Amino acid sequence: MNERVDLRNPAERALAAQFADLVAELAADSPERAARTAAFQRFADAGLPHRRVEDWKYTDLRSLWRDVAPAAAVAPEAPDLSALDVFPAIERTRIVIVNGRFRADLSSPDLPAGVTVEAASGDMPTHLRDDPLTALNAAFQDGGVRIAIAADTAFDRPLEIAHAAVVDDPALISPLVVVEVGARSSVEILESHVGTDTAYQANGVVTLDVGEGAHVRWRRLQSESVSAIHLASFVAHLARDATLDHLAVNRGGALWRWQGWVTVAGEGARADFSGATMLAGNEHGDIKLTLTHAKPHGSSREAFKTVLADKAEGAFQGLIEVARDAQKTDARMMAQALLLSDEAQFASKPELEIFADDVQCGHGSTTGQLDETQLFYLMARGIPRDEASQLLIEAFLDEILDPLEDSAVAVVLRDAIGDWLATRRNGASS
Amino acid sequence: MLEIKNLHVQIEEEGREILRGIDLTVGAGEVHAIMGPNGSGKSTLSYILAGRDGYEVTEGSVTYKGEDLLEKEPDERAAEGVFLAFQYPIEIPGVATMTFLKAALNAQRKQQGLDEMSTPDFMRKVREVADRLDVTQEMLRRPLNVGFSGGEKKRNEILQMALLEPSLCVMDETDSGLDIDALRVVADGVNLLRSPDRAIVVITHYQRLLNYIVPDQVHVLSNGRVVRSGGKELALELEEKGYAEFAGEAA
Repeated sequence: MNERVDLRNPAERALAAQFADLVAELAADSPERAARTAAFQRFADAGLPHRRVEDWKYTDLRSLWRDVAPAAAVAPEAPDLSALDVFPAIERTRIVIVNGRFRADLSSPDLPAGVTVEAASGDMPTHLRDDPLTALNAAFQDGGVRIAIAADTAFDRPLEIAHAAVVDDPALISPLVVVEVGARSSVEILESHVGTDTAYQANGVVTLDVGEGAHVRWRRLQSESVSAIHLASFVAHLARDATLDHLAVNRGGALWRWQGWVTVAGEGARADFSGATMLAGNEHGDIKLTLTHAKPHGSSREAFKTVLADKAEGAFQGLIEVARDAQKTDARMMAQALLLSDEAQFASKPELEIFADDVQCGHGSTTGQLDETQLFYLMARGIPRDEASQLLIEAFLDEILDPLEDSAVAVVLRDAIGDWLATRRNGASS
Repeated sequence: MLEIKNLHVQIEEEGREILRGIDLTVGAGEVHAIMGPNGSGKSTLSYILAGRDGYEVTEGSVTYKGEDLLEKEPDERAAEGVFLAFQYPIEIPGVATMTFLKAALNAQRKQQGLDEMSTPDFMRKVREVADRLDVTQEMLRRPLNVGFSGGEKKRNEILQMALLEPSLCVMDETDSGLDIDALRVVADGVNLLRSPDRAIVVITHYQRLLNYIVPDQVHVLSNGRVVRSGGKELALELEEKGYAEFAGEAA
């Protein structure tokens, strides 16, 4: 087998060296070795992406990810995860993944009827051949999990996929989660990301198949360590009349990127994506979503809001593709950013590629600062500037959570926002 | 209560002088009306009292309760009892009216060294004032001023004033955009607040409001100066003759 790897920089060389160690332990003729080697080769063909790669225009991973950490060890027998539970007050079924590995011993003992959990392998959909992160994940993932939900299943409590990084030193973590939701099922899934206060590096992949007429409500809370690198790929496929409502609150990580490829692959399916992102300090956060309408009568909504303080950098790249077949598609995309400092930066690149001729598609993007007139009005009623700013920032982000009303999950997500704002205020005054 | 001396104010960016030496003294228990044509500096005066950015005081002083008002932040002024009823109340999407009212009341109480008001006490107080001003519970649930009609916005301003119980009320063209019924509701709300330890400054273009809120003194503002002061009958005279004669006096 051709194992030519064009080494360009220390990070890529470190990845190659780690990969060589990993495959050395596999039998020479094993299918697993062949699959991992092919995946790593796909990564190595282009190497770490940099700003001249259009998809990575705003996140120069090659220069930002300088030191690749060694692969994370298996976590201790019984790590104390109590401090790493972001949804403690919510009755849910937990699938716990520690350092990228599924841990049945730490997960809920009883699964709801219709749910099966088993080991997953790293085969990626072929349309992602050019993506370096999913290729890297396929090469390194170990202990991935496949969650299959049978047809006609309904949960009375959400299923949480809880990622925890429990490491003392920087470590590379490569979780893989495969979720399949059977036809006509209706489920709520919580995805959480937390970790110890360490500079760990996570490169995770989630794939999701939503069967015909199934409804998935997906709530994601990224609350990583402030020094962590968090790279996440999400690949979803919606069958006929399926719906996916994906809502994310992102509030942690020194360097992070969430990239999604979502295909409205069946007639009449609907995909909703919304996100509330908070960035401060020197954090860099990047959201990239490619939403492909392949069949007629589909619809999609995207609403992303970002608040940036200090010297934070944020980016949003949204692409809506409408295939020639996908007539009567109704797709909208909106990205809004609120800059709290002169040094914060936000880049937004919404794009439409439409090959059908009878569709409704729209996009919008705004970047601004807190409205001085609104601030003055609040202050003129006795509310100090800090508190007035906080009210306005919360109001800006809370629009994303509006549809969740006062559900238990909404309370947790609102607290995550409130907590971020409080930390910033206390930090700013010290 | 309020003493304005030789106040000169210009717009920060343009350097254009708007107020050119205002003198005005308002005592506790008094209601003063400030009248004047458009562009005479009425709204600027109200913003200066509330502490809005963008203006520069080049000369003169404003003393409130014996202290220099101009060096205080808007929220400090509010906590010390200065209230501006806005000519154009600001819409704030995403902030529920009740949340805002509670934040404002408790922020002021905190600065006054008082405990926060309990939620039941707060609700009772709001309901009582709201009923008096025809402010519905439905309005209170909406985001602040969003989707409110002009009249609803003005009533919401008076509601805030009644709730916060300021010592100095400055009402900037509260009558603009109100029909006669709404005007009555607003005026009744203001009259209920008249008290020996509260001063009220009513800024208006028209005499109409002063039929309902009867002032102790009327001042005519023209070209950034008080060109004439008198009793309530001055308002009637203005209604008859208009502001034309004062344009000359000020020039």
